[in-house]
Amino acid sequence: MKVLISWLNDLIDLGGRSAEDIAETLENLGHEVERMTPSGLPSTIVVSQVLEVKPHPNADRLRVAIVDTGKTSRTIVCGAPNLEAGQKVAVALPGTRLPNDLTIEQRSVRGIVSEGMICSPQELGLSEDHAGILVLEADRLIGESLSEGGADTVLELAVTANRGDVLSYVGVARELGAKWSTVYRLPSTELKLHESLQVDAQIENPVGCPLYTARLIKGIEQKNLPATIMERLKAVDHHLYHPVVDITNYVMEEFGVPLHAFDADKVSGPISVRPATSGETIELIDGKTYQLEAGMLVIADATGPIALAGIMGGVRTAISGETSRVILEAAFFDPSSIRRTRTKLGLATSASYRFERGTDPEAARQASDRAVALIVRYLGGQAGPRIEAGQLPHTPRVPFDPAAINDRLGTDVPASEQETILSKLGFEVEEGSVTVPAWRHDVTIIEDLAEEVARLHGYDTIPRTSLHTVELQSNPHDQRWLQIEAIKDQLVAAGWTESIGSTFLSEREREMLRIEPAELVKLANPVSEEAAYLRSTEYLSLLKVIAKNPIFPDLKIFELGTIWNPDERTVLTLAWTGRQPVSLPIVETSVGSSVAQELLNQLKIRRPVMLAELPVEELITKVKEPKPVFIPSMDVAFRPPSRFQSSLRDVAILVDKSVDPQAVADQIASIDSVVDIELFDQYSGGKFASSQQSLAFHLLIEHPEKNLMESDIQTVFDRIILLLKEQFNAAVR
Amino acid sequence: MHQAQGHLHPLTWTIRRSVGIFRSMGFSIASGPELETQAYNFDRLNFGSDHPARDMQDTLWVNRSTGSGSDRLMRTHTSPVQIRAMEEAWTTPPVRLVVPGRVFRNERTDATHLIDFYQFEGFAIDKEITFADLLGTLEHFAKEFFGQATPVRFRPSYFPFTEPSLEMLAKLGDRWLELMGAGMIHPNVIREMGLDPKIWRGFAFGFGVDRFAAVRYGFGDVRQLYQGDYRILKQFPGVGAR
Repeated sequence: MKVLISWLNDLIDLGGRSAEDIAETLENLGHEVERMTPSGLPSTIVVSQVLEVKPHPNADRLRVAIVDTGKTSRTIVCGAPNLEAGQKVAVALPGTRLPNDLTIEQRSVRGIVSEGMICSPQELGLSEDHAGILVLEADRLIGESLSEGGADTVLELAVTANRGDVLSYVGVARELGAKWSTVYRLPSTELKLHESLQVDAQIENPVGCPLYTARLIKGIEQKNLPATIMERLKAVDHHLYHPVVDITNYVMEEFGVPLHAFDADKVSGPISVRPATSGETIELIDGKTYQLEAGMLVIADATGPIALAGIMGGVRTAISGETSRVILEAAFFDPSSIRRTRTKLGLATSASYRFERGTDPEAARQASDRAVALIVRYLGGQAGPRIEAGQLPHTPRVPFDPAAINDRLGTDVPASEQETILSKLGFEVEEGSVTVPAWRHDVTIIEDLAEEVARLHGYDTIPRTSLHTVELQSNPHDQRWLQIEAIKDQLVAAGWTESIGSTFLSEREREMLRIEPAELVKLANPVSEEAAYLRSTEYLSLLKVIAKNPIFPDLKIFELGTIWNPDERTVLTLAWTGRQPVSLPIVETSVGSSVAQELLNQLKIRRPVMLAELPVEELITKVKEPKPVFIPSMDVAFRPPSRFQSSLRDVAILVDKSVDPQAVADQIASIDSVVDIELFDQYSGGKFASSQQSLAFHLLIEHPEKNLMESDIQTVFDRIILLLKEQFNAAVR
Repeated sequence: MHQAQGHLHPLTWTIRRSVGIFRSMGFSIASGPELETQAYNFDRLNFGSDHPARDMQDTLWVNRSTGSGSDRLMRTHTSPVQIRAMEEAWTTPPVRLVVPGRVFRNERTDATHLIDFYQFEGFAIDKEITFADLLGTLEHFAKEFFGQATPVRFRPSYFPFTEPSLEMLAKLGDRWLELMGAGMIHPNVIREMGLDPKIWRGFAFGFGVDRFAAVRYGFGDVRQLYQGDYRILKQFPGVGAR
């Protein structure tokens, strides 16, 4: 839900609060603000009054206007045919950058200096209309920024699936009003009706449409809507289609009720609301024809379906430039019915989105009146009364027990305060129960009331208490987890490194591993080619790790996870470089078989690799008394590796026995580009002098911003040797 | 010459740390299958069959060999284990359990989203558990995991299986980050566990282990956790690490 602050300000007094404050309030009420973006036209586009219009002395098609821009009057050259003295217009002052990136400067036009530009709707980014200038409402104030205040903001709310009532300006204002104890205003629905304008409708209420209203409007003229309405729709990312449709979108944003307008002259016979029969089709305004299933709700005329109820309108009765009579629909559709239909047809729209989440049934009436008021006011015409079929759904009563609510929350909110909170939210509080307002489809039990009390009172006011201490009670799952983790600990102690790889195999990988599709469990709706099957082996993920790390000489890796062959099983799989079988802790015999050369080639692994797979259930039986599982008490100081390739080099030196290997490692670490040092050999005696020892280190060398060349690495190496000679009198072996 | 130590995977490391913190609060471990049924994954957790809440978790469906459609799926969260665990003979309330496990979503992968990843679930059921107990328990966990000075705050949220629901945020560095969702177990779910919600209450929470690891250790891209870069794997020690 995109909330334009200046629009919101029409419904509730924001009390000078900043957009950030409003966002924080909404988040603390449970409505996440995903994004805040500045909105509006530059403040240097100002409302001005045309004082005088004269022909341009040197150009037939141009005229010269004197306009009052508030602080001064300016001369502006203008070619628009609809320019007239007395109009209120939008003037872009010199220095203004328009939405189309054009910057306005003072300049001479055929000998007359033009001090700004009078804008068309297109130049303001409001619509495609470039036939003439935008004429503003007569009551706009001269000198004011066209865009409210100039510094407007759009808050993008991620409204949770249970709060369809917040998908509207009325809904947002209501939430804020409850928190701030401020009254909110509904948009004005004042209108004058022509009782004789009766819409031709025959509506019985089928399942799926508890309330349906329709009315007739005639004599609609082709006019532009006021700039404010167009700007607001654009600011919340609505496209502009046709003024009647734009008004229905505007009112949908205000009240949260999607409306639909039919071209009355294209509707044949009375309209009805009914389930489709199997085999019916409808061409919708998205240009596609849909096959309808029996039961899908449609609006229909004598010839057939004219709209997919609550989802999208049909092409045959769509509003167009020729439309002068409109049938306006406002209804409450059952959320489940809309959701079922739209998922079956794969058709989600901003209308279905709202209906699925539950609209306010009563607001359908208000929205209909509001739309009529706007249409008649800005597009002319006359409107008839609403006809209605069905009735407002019954609003439930929920038991209300303040003590029970405090008990569940662990709070002490006084009963009177709980009552105040609930009534500010629109609940009718009685003795022992509340009546839920029509717009809240999500409140049915007392636990829902507890949430209302907690969120309005503020989650920051809730105490943070602890559970009482209990003794840990193990159980068979717990025992199994401990046994499995004990196996991992034993492997790690024996030099093995744990890996975790993808659960899925692609089609290509299945072929590479020569596994028959029939042996595998297949995904029904794979998100990509990469995830077609559930893996029946961990071999591939381990081999990929070996392929990815060519610089490390001896790799011993394992994965202990899930495979499906085709039943779900836990297995331990090991992969190591070389040709030797290994003996593992726990297992009596040594294990390992060679990986086929063809597979190594396909994975670009250039050394021999051995694999072994062991079912975990068997291994667990051999772990009688698991040693306490290693629980890290301290944390790792992790250093993200370079995005570029690293090199592994060994350095072996001869130093005095008294030298501490850690001191040597620390010195090496001080050299740039050396990111990791590991002592892998420490040896004295044998052919070395008795006062000497041999130290050998693996060095990991990398650069954060580039691949190091061989010459760079050699430079690093030379520096290390020099340093060690100086510091420790070391000789390189 | 000492035998070079191997390494635990950073996700295992993160899970072990989390298990340790909750174990000291009396939580032992439960587990369940990764290939699940719609009933345990959605229906019995109070996701109405026609409710938009089902869109919150994009599902990977699994082909059945017979019949039309599919009611088997890769579990989208570890919450099904709440129901499964309570069906076991060894669970009679009061109960405190944590469930580390792999979960699956039908999402396009990017720096913060994966198709398969790890969640850490937990739940406690007793007679007088309160929302305040939940807040306190989660704050304690966050401080043990990220450091005692870590500021923590809560805001309202929505899950079909909890009411009231919350999101916990912690300030790490100079940013407030969403870390986990939680709430009081919905009475419909308590009933699915075979318990009377007038007598038994509980809370439940869950977080993404990958996200915790990424935030804690500074992985810019969660996919790195599964790419097998040995330069990463070798930084996480094992038993007896100094």
